[in-house]
Amino acid sequence: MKEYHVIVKRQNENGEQWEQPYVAVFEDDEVVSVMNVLNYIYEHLDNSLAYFNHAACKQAACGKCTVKVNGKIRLSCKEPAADQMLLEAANNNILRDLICRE
Amino acid sequence: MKIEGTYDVVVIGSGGGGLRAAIGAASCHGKTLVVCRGSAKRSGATLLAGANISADIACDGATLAKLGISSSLKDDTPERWFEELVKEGFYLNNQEMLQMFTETAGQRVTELVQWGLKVRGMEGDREISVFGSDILDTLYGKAREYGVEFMQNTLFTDLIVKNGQASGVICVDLMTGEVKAIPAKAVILCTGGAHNIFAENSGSTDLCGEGQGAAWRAGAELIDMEMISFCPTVTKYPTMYKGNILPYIFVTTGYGSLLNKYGKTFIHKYLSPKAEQLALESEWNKMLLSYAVQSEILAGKGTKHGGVYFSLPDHPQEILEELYHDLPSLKKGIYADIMKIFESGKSLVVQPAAHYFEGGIRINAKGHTSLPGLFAAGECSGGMFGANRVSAATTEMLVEGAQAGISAAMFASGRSMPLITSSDTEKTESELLAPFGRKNGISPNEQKQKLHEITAESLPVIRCEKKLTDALAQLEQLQNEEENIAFHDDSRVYNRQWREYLELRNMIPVAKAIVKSAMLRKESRGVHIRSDYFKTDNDHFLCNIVLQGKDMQAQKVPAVLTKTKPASGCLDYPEYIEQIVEMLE
Repeated sequence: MKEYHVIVKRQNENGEQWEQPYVAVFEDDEVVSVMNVLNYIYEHLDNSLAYFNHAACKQAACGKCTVKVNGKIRLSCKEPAADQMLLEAANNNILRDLICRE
Repeated sequence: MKIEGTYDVVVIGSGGGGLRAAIGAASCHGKTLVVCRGSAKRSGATLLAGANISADIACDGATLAKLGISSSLKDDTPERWFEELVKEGFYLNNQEMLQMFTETAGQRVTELVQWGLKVRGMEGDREISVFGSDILDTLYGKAREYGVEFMQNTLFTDLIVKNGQASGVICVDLMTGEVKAIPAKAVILCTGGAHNIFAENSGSTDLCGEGQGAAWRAGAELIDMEMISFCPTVTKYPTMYKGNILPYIFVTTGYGSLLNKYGKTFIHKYLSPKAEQLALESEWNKMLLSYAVQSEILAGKGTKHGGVYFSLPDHPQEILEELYHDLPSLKKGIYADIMKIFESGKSLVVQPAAHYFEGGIRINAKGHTSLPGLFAAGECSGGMFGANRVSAATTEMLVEGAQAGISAAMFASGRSMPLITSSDTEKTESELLAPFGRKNGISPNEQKQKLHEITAESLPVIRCEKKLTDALAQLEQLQNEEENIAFHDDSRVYNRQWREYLELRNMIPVAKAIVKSAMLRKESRGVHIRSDYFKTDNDHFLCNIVLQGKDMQAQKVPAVLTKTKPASGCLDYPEYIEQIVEMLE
């Protein structure tokens, strides 16, 4: 099995911020996206994490699942996951965790 | 609960069906709001039509000739098209609806082209090729011109029923967590299919059966729920591309092959040479290939990841060169990433996945449901395509959307604005918020996983009584456990656990409706295949299955056969298909 160490910059609705580490685990020969890693965190580790998921095409067509991956703006469904990722909201107008106001 | 605005017509859903319904209502001077689960132009099923590479919209060939797009079927008539669709739907189509479909599809396509939709080529004799995103952009622009308002990132949960009429909607603003009521003189549901009741599906995350579930709770009827088209070759592995239908686009254009775990082709084992040809070269591919692929998986010849291999030959090199020439979109974006897998000599693992729901909220040709003031259009409605959709779902959404929009505006014009007070919404609001504050309950994602296990076991391409019976009991238990659901997170702001709870309120009853209907249809017809009743039986099942009431009473209702009737009798499923095909030739 392969481990993906991730740090997510979180923010609650009161504006408090903190960095939270997670370890997602997938099969060795798996190809997974950043979105797959976020889903893993939600399903197995922490179901309070907020990230775009309510109307996600999962196929890089809607363009709504943007996050910063190691400082760069990426579509979480299209970006291959790597070990040691820092995930942040796409801009500073944060509603909660990785969700920005529109 | 906040009571917000008043509208003549509220449309739920901002895919092509919802947008076209809104245009229809607003063009009749109804003050119209579209409630969008995601963003107005980039959510719903339309966006992914044809993988946003080659969606098709169908109409009669004569219209296409008149538009100067294609003259290959210039002598075509709505009547001829009608006759084909009735056979393709195994005679379960509501023929009044179908007549409206064939007669008005040409107008719908013509206006879209006039509104600026870019036609990118032809896909068949009656099908123009377009991008799903282009359909949405064109319709959205037109809706804005008509003054339609939009409310985004808002989850519709329930209808408000007053004096026996639909009188508004209840929604949750997913961003703030606010629950609100919107009074309306008429409501049109355009929420699409219920793809997410299945772990394996080809839809976006927003397709959860909100319309079907809420319509049932409000007392409207459901029809043909057992009819679900599977897309035969949806990506299952690698996980990153799960749900992508690119392998299906390849199959329909003729590229690549399906192989079992031993690297052998297998379709011929389950289909006669003629049916195999249809499976590979015609629009019948969804039904026939799903049957063949599912049979091979059930025979234990699937790969370790579950499905079968979809392989594209990497030699001679010219094959891939030609493929890139045929589908230039493959050089860009996510498709370029997937193509790298093939170019490195690997394959995708694919399997049939829930793709299109023929059944849904029962409507008539004017878009009325059985509840006054409630209308429905597109995939969340049922009746148009009977037991098998071969023609385009995009045409369905346009035709039914336009019709429902006009019908709803007319209904609204004859009615005063319903007065909604908190007493009309209190009960629902407390149900929506019930899990907050509960300690030590079951998490909604656990329940969703259980639901996925039940649907995978009982509602694959090929079904049987035993598994359906077990599923019904399991689903009832799941429904009872709803009152034990609790959240770890008390915030209402973008709370996914809360959203999943709200989704389960619809997904569990919709799954139950499918199971109940599938149990009552003791035959195999179209996309509904039963291993224990492997015959198509025109003597006993030339009927639609309709569900009514809180307890989902299932009953057989004679099919609406206004023009064409099939011969009576009972034939083995594959034999009946071949007979139908012969008639079509």
